[in-house]
Amino acid sequence: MAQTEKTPLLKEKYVSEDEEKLTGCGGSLACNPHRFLHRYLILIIMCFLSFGSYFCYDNPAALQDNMIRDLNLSESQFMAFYSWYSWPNVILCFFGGFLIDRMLGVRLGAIVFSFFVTAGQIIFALGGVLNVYWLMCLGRFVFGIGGESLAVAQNTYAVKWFQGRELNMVFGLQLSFSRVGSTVNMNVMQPIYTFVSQTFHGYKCLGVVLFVGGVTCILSLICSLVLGYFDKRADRILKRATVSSEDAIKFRDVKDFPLTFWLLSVICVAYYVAVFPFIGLGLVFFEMKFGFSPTLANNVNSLVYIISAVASPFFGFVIDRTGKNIFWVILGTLVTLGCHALLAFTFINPYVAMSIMGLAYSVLASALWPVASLMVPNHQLGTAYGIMQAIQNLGLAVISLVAGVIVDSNGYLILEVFFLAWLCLALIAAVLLYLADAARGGKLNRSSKERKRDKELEDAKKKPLE
Amino acid sequence: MAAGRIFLILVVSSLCFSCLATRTVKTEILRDPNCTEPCRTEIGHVQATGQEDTLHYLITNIGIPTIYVLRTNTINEPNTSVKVDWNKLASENTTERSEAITFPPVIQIFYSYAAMFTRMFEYNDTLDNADITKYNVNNTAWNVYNFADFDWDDLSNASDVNSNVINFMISSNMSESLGNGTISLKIQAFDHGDRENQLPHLQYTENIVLFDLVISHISTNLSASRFVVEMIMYSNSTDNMEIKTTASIDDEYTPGVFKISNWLTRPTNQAEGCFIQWKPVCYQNIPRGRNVATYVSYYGPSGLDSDQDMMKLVDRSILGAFEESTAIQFRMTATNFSFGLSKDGGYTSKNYTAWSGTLGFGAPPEEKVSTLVIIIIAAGLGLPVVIIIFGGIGVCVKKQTGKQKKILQEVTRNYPGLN
Repeated sequence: MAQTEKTPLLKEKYVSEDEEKLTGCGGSLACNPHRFLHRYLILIIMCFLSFGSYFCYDNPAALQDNMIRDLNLSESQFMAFYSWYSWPNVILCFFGGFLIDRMLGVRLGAIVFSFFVTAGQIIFALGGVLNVYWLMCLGRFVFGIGGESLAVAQNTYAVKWFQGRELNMVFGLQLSFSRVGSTVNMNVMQPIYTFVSQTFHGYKCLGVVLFVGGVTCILSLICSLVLGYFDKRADRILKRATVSSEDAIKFRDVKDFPLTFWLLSVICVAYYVAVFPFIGLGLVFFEMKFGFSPTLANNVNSLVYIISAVASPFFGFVIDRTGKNIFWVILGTLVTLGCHALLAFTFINPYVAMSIMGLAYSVLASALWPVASLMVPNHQLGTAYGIMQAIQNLGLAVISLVAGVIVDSNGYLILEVFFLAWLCLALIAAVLLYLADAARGGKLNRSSKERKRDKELEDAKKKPLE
Repeated sequence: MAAGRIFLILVVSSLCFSCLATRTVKTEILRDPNCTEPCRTEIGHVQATGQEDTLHYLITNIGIPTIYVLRTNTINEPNTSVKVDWNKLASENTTERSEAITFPPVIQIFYSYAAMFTRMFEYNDTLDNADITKYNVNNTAWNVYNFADFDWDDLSNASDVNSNVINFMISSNMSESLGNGTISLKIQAFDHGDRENQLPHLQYTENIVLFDLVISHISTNLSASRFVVEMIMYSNSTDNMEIKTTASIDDEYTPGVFKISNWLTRPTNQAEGCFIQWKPVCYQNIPRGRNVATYVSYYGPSGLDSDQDMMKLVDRSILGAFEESTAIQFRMTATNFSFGLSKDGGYTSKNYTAWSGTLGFGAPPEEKVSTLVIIIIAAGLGLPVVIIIFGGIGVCVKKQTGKQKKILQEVTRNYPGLN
């Protein structure tokens, strides 16, 4: 009955009277915010926004041997470069997200966090040049303040530009770009070091190499400025709603986030801790259980990263077409469960399990993150992504430690069972999410067709009021 | 089903362990009463007396360091143990020497076997492959150490007979010549079954002795030094020896190690043969842990080239002091064990390598998935599955009833007059 009333409204095209006339280059396909090409160009800038932070995050790993030798570090001193980054971020990215919503806005937020990333890398490099260990740790800390929050800003940007369009694909692409960043770093830093070592030696060489790495951060900073300009322009042209001050999020709003959001966070942490801490411990597992050579073991171990880099945008595209995000999440979790079971209980070549896990991870990551944008109003999205990221970071940090202890005392079989249990938890949370959502009308798990129709209905409803 | 079967096996095997006749184990160090310090000719004698048979371990560094085991009948009378004639033992004449070790006539020898630690090789692993088959005599540098030529400390100095421990340790003079490094070999017997209290947590029983080889801080002239140890197994049977390696999914006792190898003297009749059991793992530092673990590869077993070679080994070891060791047919095979894995930094990274194995009589103990693991798997995976199944059923039921309600509601809405 209701449908007959609304059908005709869908046919009408709504054209604003006072729409800004875009002229010249500004009105062309590439520069007009109404047009898809402009969005895609913005997407490229958006991807490069976090390129610098992903590139520099793994600088220490790429230069591990040189760093330990040049700075005369112990293994634990070296590992501290990572803990100075990760531990503060267990909470900092939550505040980062909150700041984006409450005070800075996504534009200024992205610029500020990019600035932190750049400053952090410069301090880190300076510490290298001067051979001052604490300065380097400080650099990593400052870098960390920016890094994770920048990822939150990037997610928020993605939703702002692509909500209701190619959002899953965009998240997939961003994921793959973060992998590209660390892969490029792993392959490029060593040659740079060799090149620079012709002129400089010891820790000076190392510092200079880190400064060179910092160029990518500056690139990201420029991206944040460009993105800020175009986002402001698009806001004006598209008349995107600005958040009024009474609408702005308050701390206590967090507790009003829907149950489904917290279930999503549980999936996020329970799934990720079953994949990444495993990869951290995978090398020895592949060498010892499957008799792989260290090189081969390393290849298998990085399969998840490589495959996700390639497959994420593709799966994102597929999910955009089909919708039904929760089903994709459940599928990804189930398949990963199967992969871990294969690794734990069989001697089947781990190439099989790790390749499939790479695909499953791509599916899950591209389907999971966009769901948050359907649960939380846009002006609270920074906080929401901040919370998810914070919970995930906390989970990864704690579970990595726990996983190490489990392997040392009980071996890999029990470790695998531990990961399987986490995946089961993720699965339960995903099923609950489906049920909780179904009880509220199944908004999250609609197919793309239904989503499109609903959006048109919504737009149509809005029109008469304006 | 599978879990049930495993459980059954566990129960049966634990029953079997308890029904095995336990042995009383007594350790003494035999030495020439006339010798002065340092004696350098001592024999550790471990006598593991069971109801059906007795295992006499003769553990000595006279000549080649050897664990020589004689399985005899059990006679519960005094003075029925092994006797050593120290003068004959010191003799250059092989015939005279072969009469040095004797048993009283009431003692029957059922079977004898031995593990010999003959040589240690050090090679320059310039390719970082940790694989000795990649090199020959010419294309890399080798150092060869003959254990028989080492100056070993007196066994009584480092052993602990109350704990049934016999310890081989190179003397301080020898240590100095190796740059203050040490090489030690600890052998321990048990009167019960359990697992080693340190990694790799190998299983032992009262039929098994445990050995721990430590190569610590040996100075080296090689830049990428790695070590290889050559062992020889002797068995007075004619069966062909074999090394069998099995893999298990369970690494709970030795984290990160999924394989176990057995060097069997009688592969087709394991209950009447002996074995050396080890896991392919050694440790580059103390305390032993997964983070300092590296790989152990083996190359063998290979038969010795000629009978002369075998007789040379017999004559240079305690085997040559016991007539029956060669009176009946016997077999000897050699296996090399190389320590390390490519990219583990080599020996020089920590200047330490420790490796353990067991030498035992009968079928070697097998690794089984433990009850603890089964319980954890059942709880960790079973619980979520149960929750999902029941949750799913609950939802389906709810949906069905929900549908019926909806139909009812629609019916009532369409016919308001009926209300």
